[in-house]
Amino acid sequence: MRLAASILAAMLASLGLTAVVPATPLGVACAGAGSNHATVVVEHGNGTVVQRCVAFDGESISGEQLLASSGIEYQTQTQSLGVAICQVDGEPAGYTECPGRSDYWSFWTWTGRGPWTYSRVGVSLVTLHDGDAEGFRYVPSASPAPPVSPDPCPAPPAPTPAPATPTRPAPTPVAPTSAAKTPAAQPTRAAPTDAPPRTSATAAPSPSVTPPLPRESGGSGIAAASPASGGSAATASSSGSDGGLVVAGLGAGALAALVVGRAVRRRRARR
Amino acid sequence: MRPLAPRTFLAWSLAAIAVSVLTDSPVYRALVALSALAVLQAWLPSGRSLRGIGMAAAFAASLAFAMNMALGHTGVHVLARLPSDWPVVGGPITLEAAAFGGAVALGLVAALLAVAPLSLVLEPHEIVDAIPRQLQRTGIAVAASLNLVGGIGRTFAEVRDAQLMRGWKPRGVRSWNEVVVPVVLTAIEDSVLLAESMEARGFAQGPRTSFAATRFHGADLLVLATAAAVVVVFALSRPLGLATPWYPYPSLTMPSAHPLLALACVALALPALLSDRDGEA
Repeated sequence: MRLAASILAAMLASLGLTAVVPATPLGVACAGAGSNHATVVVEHGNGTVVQRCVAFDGESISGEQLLASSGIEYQTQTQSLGVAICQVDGEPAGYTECPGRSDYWSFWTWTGRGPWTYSRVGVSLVTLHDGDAEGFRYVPSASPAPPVSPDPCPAPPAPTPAPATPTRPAPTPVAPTSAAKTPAAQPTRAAPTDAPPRTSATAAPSPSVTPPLPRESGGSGIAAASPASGGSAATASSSGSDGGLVVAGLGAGALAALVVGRAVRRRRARR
Repeated sequence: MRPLAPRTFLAWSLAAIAVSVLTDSPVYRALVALSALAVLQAWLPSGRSLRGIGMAAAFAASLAFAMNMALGHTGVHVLARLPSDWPVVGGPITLEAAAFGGAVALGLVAALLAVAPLSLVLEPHEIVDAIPRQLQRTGIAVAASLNLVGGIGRTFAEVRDAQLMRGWKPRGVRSWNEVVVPVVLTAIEDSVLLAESMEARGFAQGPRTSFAATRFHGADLLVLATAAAVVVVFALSRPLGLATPWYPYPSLTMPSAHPLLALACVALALPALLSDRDGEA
């Protein structure tokens, strides 16, 4: 009985520890080796976010190489505009069209500042540099929207200071003043790990780098401006475009009236 | 109102073509096409018709649109499906491909209408005057050579009819020698005659001595300045962030427009406002 109870207690304790001790964080985990870093952000249709930080050597890396290096499973199809993403991280479970007819993987890029930019070309034709990010979000085809902001790649671990060699005081008790007491050696601190801060599965946006982006639907499909700069940037861009379309419409109407008016006058003159 | 100088029309045409090439937005291309049509209509001499250029533009636009729809199988909104085993054209016919084809067609129409004034409004000698002095002899030689092409076609028809009347029948490739050889000999003879007549008129004998030099007036300067400004605005539109590239793939989106660029396209219609040919029969 006691043995069973102790075994049960041990099991419960282990479950509790598992709950307390952070599991392998789902947030940014740095894959690969290199001095430059870029981030891959994948946001599923249900809002689940997966982020991967990829380290690479060289000045740049293609979007497809970055995705391949991230370790996230994906399927592609080569098309005239580059490689199209058909499936990422198991979503959709099955597909017959790429990109999908109703929902598809929208592809975005981020250059370290400002909002996400909707990519007009496939992932194989995009080049990213240190600090950039590429994002994939599974969205309805009629309303592409950017994924959540990328968390920064973890900083490389700080160099661990060499632990001080502990010196024992001289065993001779004769000259207490000459033997300088050295403090006991500090226990070596564990070097800070590369583990990034734990992020939830829904990846609350990092407050440090990029403020969260509002999710816009429809429109021009171009990423909205960050709310840190106010929705004013997004409002300004959309109002500018609306103003441009109004001017274009008025101009086209005026030109059409000019052409039609001249044609009518010429016909009357011929009669 | 004095007519605009030939070089003014040439500069305006180049500006309109440049704008239709520098932009991929169907909004701006449509405005350029309308502006060019207004200018063409305003300056078209009496007795000339827009039917030829209209048919050419319609044909080119239809071909571009159809080719894009048939060959571009990318896009989310599928309108129809052709069997996949059909070579090249097999696969989904998408709304995005149609939109892209429409934009290409608009660009072609805009470019055609932009160059139309050079053939419909200007006389051949005015076009030669518009060419820079260093290229004038070359332009004249090319123009004269192109005139021979139509003559070769007529000669071919005449020789073929004459041979048919003599009992000739086309039997295989070698039998056409009886038509081709006389046509070639006639073409050589015509070109020699043309060269002698041009030489007799002083071609390449020195600078032209008896022609009226065209001068730029206020209207010409205004049109030239406007055309230059429009080109500069569009050339700087992308670096300045005024123009957003429009691409219908993979999902069709509404093209955006900047007020300044839209105004620039409408400003290309300025020559239309400077014409006083209303009501000409």
